[in-house]
Amino acid sequence: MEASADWGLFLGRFHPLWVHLPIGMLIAAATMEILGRRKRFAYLLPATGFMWTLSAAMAIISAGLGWLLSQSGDYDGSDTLAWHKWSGIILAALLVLVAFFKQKKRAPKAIFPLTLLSLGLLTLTGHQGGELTHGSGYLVRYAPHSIKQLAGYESTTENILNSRIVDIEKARLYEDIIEPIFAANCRACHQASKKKGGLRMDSFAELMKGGKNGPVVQAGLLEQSEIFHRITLPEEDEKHMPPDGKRPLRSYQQDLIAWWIESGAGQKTVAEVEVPAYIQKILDEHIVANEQGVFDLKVEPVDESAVLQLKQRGALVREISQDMPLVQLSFVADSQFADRDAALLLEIAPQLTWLDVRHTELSDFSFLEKLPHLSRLHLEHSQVKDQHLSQLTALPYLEYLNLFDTDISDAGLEQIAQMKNLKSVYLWQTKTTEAGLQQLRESRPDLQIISGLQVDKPESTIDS
Amino acid sequence: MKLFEEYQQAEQRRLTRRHFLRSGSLGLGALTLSQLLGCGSGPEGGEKSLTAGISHYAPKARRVIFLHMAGAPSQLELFDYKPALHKLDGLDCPDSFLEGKRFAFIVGRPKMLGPQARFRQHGKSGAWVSEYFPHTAEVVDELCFLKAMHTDEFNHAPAQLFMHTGSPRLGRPSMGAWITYGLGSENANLPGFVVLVSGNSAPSAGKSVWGSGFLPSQYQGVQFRSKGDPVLYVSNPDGTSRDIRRGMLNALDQLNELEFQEAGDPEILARMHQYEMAFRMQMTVPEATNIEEEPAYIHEWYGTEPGKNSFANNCLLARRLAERDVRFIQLYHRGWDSHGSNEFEALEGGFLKRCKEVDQPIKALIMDLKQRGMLEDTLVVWGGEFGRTPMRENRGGKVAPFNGRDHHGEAFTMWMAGGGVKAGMTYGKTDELGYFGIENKVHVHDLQATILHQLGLDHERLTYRFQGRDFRLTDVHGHVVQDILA
Repeated sequence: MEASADWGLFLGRFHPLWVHLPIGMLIAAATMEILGRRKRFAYLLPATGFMWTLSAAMAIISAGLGWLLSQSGDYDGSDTLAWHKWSGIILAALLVLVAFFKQKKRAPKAIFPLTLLSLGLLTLTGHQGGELTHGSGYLVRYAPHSIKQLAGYESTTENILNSRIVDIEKARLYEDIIEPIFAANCRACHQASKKKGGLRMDSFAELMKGGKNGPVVQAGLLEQSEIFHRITLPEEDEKHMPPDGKRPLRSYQQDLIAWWIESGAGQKTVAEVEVPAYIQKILDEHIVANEQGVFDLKVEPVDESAVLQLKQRGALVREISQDMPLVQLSFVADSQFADRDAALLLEIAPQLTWLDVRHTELSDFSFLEKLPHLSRLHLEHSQVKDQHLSQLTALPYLEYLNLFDTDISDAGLEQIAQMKNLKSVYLWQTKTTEAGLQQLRESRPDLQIISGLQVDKPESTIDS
Repeated sequence: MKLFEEYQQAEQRRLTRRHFLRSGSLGLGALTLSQLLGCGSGPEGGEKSLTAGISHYAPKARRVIFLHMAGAPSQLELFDYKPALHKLDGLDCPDSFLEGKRFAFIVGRPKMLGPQARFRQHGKSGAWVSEYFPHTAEVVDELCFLKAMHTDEFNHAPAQLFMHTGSPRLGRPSMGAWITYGLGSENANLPGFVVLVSGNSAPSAGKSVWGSGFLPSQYQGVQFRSKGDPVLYVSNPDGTSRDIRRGMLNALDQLNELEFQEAGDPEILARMHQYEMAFRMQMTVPEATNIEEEPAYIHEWYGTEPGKNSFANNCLLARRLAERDVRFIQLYHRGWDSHGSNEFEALEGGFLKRCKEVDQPIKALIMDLKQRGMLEDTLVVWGGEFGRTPMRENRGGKVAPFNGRDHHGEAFTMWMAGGGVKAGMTYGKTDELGYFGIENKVHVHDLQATILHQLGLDHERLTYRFQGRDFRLTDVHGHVVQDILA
């Protein structure tokens, strides 16, 4: 769809570009003025009058363009806009005054203080303009904490985003579930300082007021709710929100918003509304805080000398990823690594998370107990015995245990049943019996137990 | 010392202003020119050792097995069940289907072609699979179907390049090269990127689909064969012992080292890496590729016949390589180009044979990985380079002697399994006739971004500077398909 021509807006959008001219010229004029006070640079002074006049002219044009842009309505009624507008106008007036004094050679004593004043005003106006364009807090978003506090930006949005919900029943539908989605994806353009489409999404009341075309949320009426319509349009549609170039909402986020609108778009708690099964699944997966995983652990970087010694004995030690010091360890095919070397593993115990001992000669596995951060353990093809498994029951993060092709029997399965965090165990070609496996399945229905080739032959349900 | 200073002064006296200006300006000009032309762009990764590399974030998958069905199997006969197409069988294709669309072979107004297979829903997930894939149908609860895949290309070579290198033109590194470049290998004695080809010939895009492009050449795919010598030219010629070979390599290394000191070309280092790798592979490859040592029930399961070149053998080989921590294992099986113009290219001919060749080994591979505890961290990807039209092909305006469909990039089916992808899921939907994706479309670049993501690589950060710009597998495109991640 072709937008109809609007000269005011067309010119207005040149404002963010044009403002840089008076900014540069004013800085040049001020610099010449200040340096010119010293004898060495006195030759600059005769040109300052011209520079001030030029800055003033550019500033007036900027202010005019800015006024046109403000008419678009995208920034209506925000405090930042009012401040920016008036400080810009005052700055332009100040420049005209200085230029006038210079031309008429009046009030020479006032020039220097006025120069400093205009520089200060420029900084202020420029910063407000930046806040309008990029959203409040843009400048110090990645600043160290202390600087943020100093600048008075203790952001509340991030606290919302990071607060994890523990008891979902008590969670508030809007504040705890929906608002964080809006805060992360919509708020940069829909807030007090930059109301695109007249819509503010920085509080429940403002959101309910809607935008310049009326309310965007119709309680209980999904189809009539503009907000839902816009986020679910095809991505290439011009009206799709968030707009081109921004990350589209994920489908579970769309589902949550739909659920919120359909259950009245209010501020109830989860316990007070109906929770369909698919929403429950989303809540479990994305909203409820997971228990602390092994990757959330804060540990020291790995001891390099221990790593070197391990490497000399045929170990491959790699960091699992760039963003944490946890390591994975396996052995090259012909490694001679044996029980006498096991103590070496303990030296990297805090970091050791994934361990694969397939290619070793280890027969005593009692050291495993002292590796508290193991989450994936490959013992397949090893000499591990039932009694070693009791070492593993205390490992709090163990999720994956591979015992394929070992002598593990039903006695070991009892130990496995006690590994609380375990998610999958592999028992193909072991000495376990079907009865033992069945018992394990019953005591641990949450556990994936893989014992061999036989797949449940799926039933074919519908013929074509 | 005195002598040296004297020499310097003498030198400086001979340097006139004219000398200075000439060499100065010409030198600067030449430097700028080489930058502009991009000739002197020294790749920064040249000296990386093969095992170096690290994920950006914790990976879900540690290796990939990519089963590429070169020639593009028809999704309408395998996974994308369209009962409405039955009713239109033999009728003229409506105008709305033809407007603005370019085909590889279809001309004028083709007829619609109904599904040539019978479909059923399978497993707990109720995924639709046709009677042509009875074995795959048994493992649907392990798979995640992407029903609305789409690509930019509708001819084999460009589309294959697009799928594997992210660009339809030659010269870009393939996915396996990018991944081994980014992550390194977990086994220093085997290549990190192995290619296994079956079917009547190599894929139409040739070896470029497993090339390293502008990445150092040690990252290119190494082709293994299930028939004859597993890797060509790796074994010693008759009468050459390993000691002699070692001595020769040592001498070669010294010469190459000298050459590198002088020329500074990182490709020399790459060559040295590869000689060393080949030497180690003389020991490791025969062991890794010896599928004969597998027990009989495994052979029966995969349908393997040692000594033959077959997809089944390659699947078993892929599992053995995955067990040895080969990072990226690429299988190609060719012969899916079912146009209907001859028996080999017919839906009722060659296509059926291809289905039989791959169906059982695919099930065996998935289940074998699973029972060994490897499916969790091995990402298996299946698919062709594009899909096929709901219309019957009418090459040259004539009725084709067999049933066939033309190339079609707008909608096709792929599936993934393991590696942290949701099992038993169907993602995306095509319209009533399977012509266009209408829900949850996944572009080839999205697929690539997702594969890298599962390996802990951010597709926007895995870059390589070449000729003055940072290149990516996904160029400037691609979104990770978050909704299919477990």
